[in-house]
Amino acid sequence: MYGEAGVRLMAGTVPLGASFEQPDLSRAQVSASEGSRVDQPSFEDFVVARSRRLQRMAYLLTRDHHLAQDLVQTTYAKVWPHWSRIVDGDPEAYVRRVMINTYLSWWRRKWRGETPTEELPDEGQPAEHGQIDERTGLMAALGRLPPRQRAVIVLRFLEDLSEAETASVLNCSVGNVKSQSSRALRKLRIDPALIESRRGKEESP
Amino acid sequence: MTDVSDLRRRLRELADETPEVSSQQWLAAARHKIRVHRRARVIGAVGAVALVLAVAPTVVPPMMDTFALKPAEHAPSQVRHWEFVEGAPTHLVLGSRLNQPGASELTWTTVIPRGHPRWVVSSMQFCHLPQTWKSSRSAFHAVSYIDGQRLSSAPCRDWAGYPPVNGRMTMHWRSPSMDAFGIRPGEPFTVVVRLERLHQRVDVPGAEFGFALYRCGIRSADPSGTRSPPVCPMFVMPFR
Repeated sequence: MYGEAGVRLMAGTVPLGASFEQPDLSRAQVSASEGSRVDQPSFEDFVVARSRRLQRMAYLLTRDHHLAQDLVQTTYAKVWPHWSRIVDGDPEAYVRRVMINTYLSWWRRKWRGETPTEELPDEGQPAEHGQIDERTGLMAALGRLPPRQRAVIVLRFLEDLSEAETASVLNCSVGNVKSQSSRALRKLRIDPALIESRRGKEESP
Repeated sequence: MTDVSDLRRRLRELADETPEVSSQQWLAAARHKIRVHRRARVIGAVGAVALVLAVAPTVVPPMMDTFALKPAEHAPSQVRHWEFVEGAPTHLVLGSRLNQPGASELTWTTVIPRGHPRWVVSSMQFCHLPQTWKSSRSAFHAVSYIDGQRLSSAPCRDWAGYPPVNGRMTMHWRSPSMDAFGIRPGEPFTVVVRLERLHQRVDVPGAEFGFALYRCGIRSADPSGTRSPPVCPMFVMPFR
């Protein structure tokens, strides 16, 4: 999964140097012990507890395991300097918002490593019970959604956020979330990959 | 995709495909990424400073010079009345020209920069005669024209005609607003300044005269929407 340094580096990142001190991920906890924030989680606690959930969300956004991990790590790197401030509020919501924004900015800057294609490069083997085909079809259909619509689908139906919460994460209106969600669902219903996978599933004994 | 609950279920199944990563791996990866971001920030900041230091000497002087004095190449620094423009608050000077040494006519094609849309631009002139012309100085004028229209007239004086009172002298804005002559920002126009006596062009060896464009204010409008005539202030010229 991870390389020797415990991370998969994106192209263009700077290699690790000895002159940089080891970041103390538990520093929020140290400062918290001095005041009223005794019960607030340290950054370290948060990473341990929430990484899996963020990784799942990132995977559906990026459709790539490595990119998903990199997206989560990049998000951590962005929020860590401000942890003592954001821990006062709702850190998970904040981190989620940073991750979505990072994902959307990757998309805009074409760092996502995705290229539009008619056919998926790796279709995999035909599934025994149609399950893999179904997943592949869903992944392909997600990939054909515009990034914001994909984000709405992930936030609404994987994270189970309300429309208002989704609007807050995406920094847009509730009406915008409704329309994006509606359009995305309409596209998914008529997506040829999903129709094909559903037909294969029905025809399988 | 039959319904939303089906989509929800299938999204979860899909998300479950993500491989398990241990807490220690996440922590190590997060630490590493933070280090990389720190380093990138430091390198970015150093790069930005280096870029500013490299570019500033090239970019800043022209920017500062945009509305500042642009002395005529031929204007010698020892010309006494070069203070006519040099001593003025240069942020108001849009441009200026002196006559060529010995020439009795100055032709200058220029343009008012596209600045504030309500700028009021006016002009100033001066004219100096050699000492030997003192006795008849009042009869000479430097008269400026734009496209054949008479713009303004400045009486010529000799050097002694500008006594340095308390080290300063006062000059008036010499012309109405340039837009009264149909001059609009961004449109080139030509100014001709020449020495005249009794409305006749004359040559005076050694005469020095100049023409300058100044931004003298912002056009205002009263509550009824009627534009007030621009009022250019008195202008105190330093005199060295």
